[in-house]
Parts: sequence; structure tokens; C-alpha cells
Amino acid sequence: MCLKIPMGHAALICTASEDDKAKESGLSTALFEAAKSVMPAADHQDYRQIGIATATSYGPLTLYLQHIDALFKKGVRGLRPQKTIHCVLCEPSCQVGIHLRAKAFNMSFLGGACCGFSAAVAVTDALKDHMASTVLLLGGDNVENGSSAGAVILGNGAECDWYVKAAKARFAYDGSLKRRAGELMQSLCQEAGLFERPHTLVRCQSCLSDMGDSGFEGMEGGSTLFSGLIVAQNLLKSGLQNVLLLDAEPSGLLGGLLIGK
Amino acid sequence: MRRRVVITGIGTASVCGFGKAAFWNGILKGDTHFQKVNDAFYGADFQGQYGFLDREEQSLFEAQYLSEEERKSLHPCARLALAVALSAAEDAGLKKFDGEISPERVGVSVGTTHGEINVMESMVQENGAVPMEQIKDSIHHIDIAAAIARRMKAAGDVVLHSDACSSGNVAAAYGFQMIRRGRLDRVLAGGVDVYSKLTEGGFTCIRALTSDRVRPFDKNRSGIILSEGAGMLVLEDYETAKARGAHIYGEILGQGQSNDAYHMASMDPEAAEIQVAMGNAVQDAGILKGEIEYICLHGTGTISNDNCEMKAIPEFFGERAETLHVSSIKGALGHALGGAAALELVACSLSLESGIIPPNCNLLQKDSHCTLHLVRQPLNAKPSVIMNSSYAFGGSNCCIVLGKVGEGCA
Repeated sequence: MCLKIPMGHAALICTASEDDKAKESGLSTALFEAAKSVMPAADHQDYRQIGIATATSYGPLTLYLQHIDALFKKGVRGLRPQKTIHCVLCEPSCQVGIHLRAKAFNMSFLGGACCGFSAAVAVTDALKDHMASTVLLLGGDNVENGSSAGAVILGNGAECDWYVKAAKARFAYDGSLKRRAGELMQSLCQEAGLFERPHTLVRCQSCLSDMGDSGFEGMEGGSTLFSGLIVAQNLLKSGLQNVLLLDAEPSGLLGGLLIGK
Repeated sequence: MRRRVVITGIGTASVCGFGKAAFWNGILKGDTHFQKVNDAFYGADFQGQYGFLDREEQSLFEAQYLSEEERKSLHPCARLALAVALSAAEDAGLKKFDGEISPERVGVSVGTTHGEINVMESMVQENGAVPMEQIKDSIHHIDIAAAIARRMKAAGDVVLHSDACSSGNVAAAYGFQMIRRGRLDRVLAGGVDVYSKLTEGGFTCIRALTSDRVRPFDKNRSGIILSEGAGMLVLEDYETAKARGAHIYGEILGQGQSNDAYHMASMDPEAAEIQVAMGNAVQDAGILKGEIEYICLHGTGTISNDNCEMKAIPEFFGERAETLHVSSIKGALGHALGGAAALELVACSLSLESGIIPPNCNLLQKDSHCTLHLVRQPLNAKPSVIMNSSYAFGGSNCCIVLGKVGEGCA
């Protein structure tokens, strides 16, 4: 039987630079803002059943750099205890979990442009395994003057008519990204029960750019997937039945997501 | 039908040494020597210790497994993870990675708390403030998993997790799930972290480090000692492992997770979510909680962590908690962060194989509130069902249930 995981509207936001007085990283604030914009009315949510999966390349990088700089300039006395301990790659995901009291699970996935796909595959697995009924899929990274962050709801809590029909990740250990991408596309279509390749959307800057029917602009690391999702959802709104979203990164990671009505 | 997942290879690097023999002897003896840290920036009155790997042994170990190119191009965390992963593959009898099973059926799932943060620190120490773009051009945390995948010729899922102290367990749990649901046949899973000045500084700031020994569940416990380390396990579909005549340490029966959603730097003192994670793991394993014979505790040696486990285990197991064997091996290993839970999984695997439960070392006087049945000396109890538990800053809890693969099961 084909996979059919409900999916809500994706959001992608950019926020301003780090607030030195804030208790948490700028990235976690950005992710929380993105999360709030996609969360349905909170009252009826069972937070025990909500899981969080976050994709990021560098976690709270600005915070790391500030504290490393302070450590070498002023020693331990230059560190702010309550904030230094937030220098951990999963901090943004954990902070959102704390804000939302989401208790099913909290996982962070690292990678380049494709880390969002790794997280998306894990989310579909978690929903299939009943580890949660609703999952908030997040992704983001710091940019030079702030953060970019994306969010989307998957599972029972998603108020939308779209579905994830297949999600897969692969690795091109021998550098053959295009060959693996071709195999991945076939495999995604097969899993979704499609006999013809649907409209395929690839990141403009990736080495797969000539394999797609149209492209989307890359963002910073963890938010890249959400840039693609927004374009894909707009294509569905405009009448397409299915869209295949595909990406690859120089490390060898590849990811694919087939979404449709 | 759910597929069975077995452990066929293990690799370790820890303050106890390199390889399973050094590791096992080290945690059974518990007389680990931690080095004093006296970097000026920690302050004159700083009395910290750190569980560094022996650099000479590390160099030899890495030279044994890595190519010259890998030793030059990979950052320290990726180098260590790759060498330990290849030693685990060797232990599993996987000398060649060609042809035996399809590359699409092989994956990698590794966890880390900080990845290559030490490279970032070196760049800042050498050059002063470094532009963010320069960091992004130089450091790619994903190489920790990707380097293993390249050598293992893995074309399946390659995932780098970061879930603080639970990273190693979450990574192994994910590998287990991918095999169990039939997506992959073999996964290199584990965790790794290396020395970071900022991490040491951060733990110093919140006064979590001890200048004494690490004494989990002791009345006078006073905190943790951070350490370097990596643990890697070869997880395989049981039928695949059996077909190639692999040695089997044990079987992963189930996993359970939860999230405290409480605080970034402390566990929920009610310890309710720990119990949820244990319950989920037991349910996923399809066993009764009374069947668990040993728990490898998270047991950091801080007041708050140990208090949570002292509360959660009796509440979850009831009267059984008074006779259930438990121990933390962090007294011997220190806290290897992303490597910790993976090293503990290795300890659980060796415990299943040998029948010996490793001790909760450095325990002088048990906390008066602690009703747990702590194992103080290596104990030949022949456990057949074990739980490995890990609880992280930020709230990610993950428990894994392992079992012995008996002749009857095979």
C-alpha cells in the first residue's frame, strides 16, 4: 500500500541578527517563529504525541563563534554560563521542543543542503512506526546577519489536502550523484505507485539541475528543503497532481520527496 | 513480519584504550587515569580533568585503518569515527565491501554532540574572529558519517544525528529501525566526540565538572569528567548475518524515545519522560519489563542526573528495582558525550557475550536515597536481556533493549 502522510503548508522565514540578551540562540528563535506559523490551533493538540525533527548544517553557529571568541579572549570568565551551555548542535530543536512541550521525541539531523531530506525520511519513518501522531519538521541555519528557518507539519495534525507519498535518501559513495539520483527517482515513483515520472523539481545550484522540469533556489543548509517545498506546494495549488522534489550535495547525500494530492 | 537485528561487530576508542579488549578490561577494572587540564583560560583555580585518548596509540590506530589521504583531509572527529568504524567492520569479518550485499542495502547512522567544533576552535585561536563563511567552507560535520559511507561503499541512508548525550543511542536506534523495517540489511551505527575547549568551558561555567573521581550514585558524587571517545557497532539483519556465518554479540530487541521538553541544561526532576522512554522501549521489544536483567544507566555522577534515575527506575520497575542489576560505566570512561551511549551499547554487547555485568566503579558510599541494586564489582550474572539508557541535555531520552541470541532462537 502506498504511503500517504498528511502534510500542511510549509513556511520559510528569515530573521534578524542574534539578540545578545536573549536566553537562546537566534536560530532557535527563528525556528520557533517558523513553527508557530504552521502549527494549527494549539488547544486540541496532544503534545505527548508531537515529535520534532530538525535539519541543520551548523546548529547555533553564531552562538558558537561568539563564545569561542570570548573564551580565547577572556577565558572562562568571558562566558555566560546559562548561554554557553546552549552551544550544542541540537539546541535549536530542543528549545522549540521546550516551548511547545512536544514530548514524543526530539531529533536533530546534520548535513548540507540535503539534511532536510534526511530529517523528512526520519519523520515519515517515525509516523509509520507510531512514535508520534504529528511531527513538526524544521530546518534552519544561521546566515551572516541572522537566520533562515523553515517548518512544516506532517501527520494527523496537518490541516491540508497534500500528502507525502514517498520519501527516500541515498548516498553516492563513488561520487556518481546523477546515476544515484536517477535510481532514486525511479524508486520514489515506484513506492508512490506512479507509472510516469511526475513534475520534478531540483535545486538550481545542485549538480542535478539539468535533471528537473523546474528549479528552486537553495537556502542555507537546513532551510533548503523548505524553499523547495514552498515551490512544490505552489505547483500543486496550480493544478499538478504530484511533484517530485530532488536534491544532492557534494558530500554524496541525496534526498527525494514525492508529494501530491 | 518484523526482521531481527543483530550486532556482529564492535569498535571502540576511549580513555581506556583502543579496541574491545582494552575497553572491556578498562571498564571492569575502573582504575582509569584522567589527565589534569590546566589551560590558562580556564582560570588559575581550575582543577579540571579530561579523558583524553592516548595520542600515540591514536596515531597508530588511525594509521592502521585510514589511508594517507584520509588522515590528511579528514578532521579529527571524522578521522576517529572512521577508524573505529573500520575496526568494527573488521571485527564483524567484513574485510571487503564489494559484492556481498547490494550497496543500496548498506547505511550509516552516527551521532555526535559537537561534531568538528574543535576545528572551529583552532581556527579562532589561530586567527582571531573568523567569518562565518570561512567556517562553512572549512567544516562539514556530515563528513563524520560520509567518510564511513565512502569506505563501506554504502549507498543507502547515511545519517548524522545530533542529540547531545543521547546521540549514540538515537543513531543506533535509527539504524536498528531501518534494518527492522526492511530498508537496509547492514548499518554502521555509533557515536563520537573529541576534545573541545568550549565544551570544557561550558561545563566549568555551570559547575558540573568534578575534581574528584566520577562517582555515579555515591553520596558524595560531585560531577562529571568529560572525555573523548567513539563506539561503533555493525548492525545486521539476522538472516544476512547468519548466512555469512557472522559472530553475533546480541540482538537489538527494541527502542524507545521521549522528550522531556523541560530545560536546556537540566533533566525534569519528575523523571516522567524517562519512564516513558523505558516503557516505549520495552513495548517495542515485545517483552515484559520484568524480563530486563541489567540496565546500563546513564549515570553521569551529577546530583541531578543520578537523582532522576534513582526516582525513575523504582517508579517504573516497582519492587523489581530492588533486585535488578544496574550500573553506570561513566566512572571508568568519563562522559564521552556523543560517544557515550554508543560505548555503553558496546559494553552491553560484551556483557551479553561474556555474561559479566560491568561495575559502577568509584562507589564508596551509596546515596542514602538510592534504592537501586548497584553492581560494585564485575558480576557473572549472565544477563540475557539488557537495557541501555541515555538522557540528554535538552531533553532527548532514548533507551535500547538488547537480548542474547540463544541457540533456541537461531
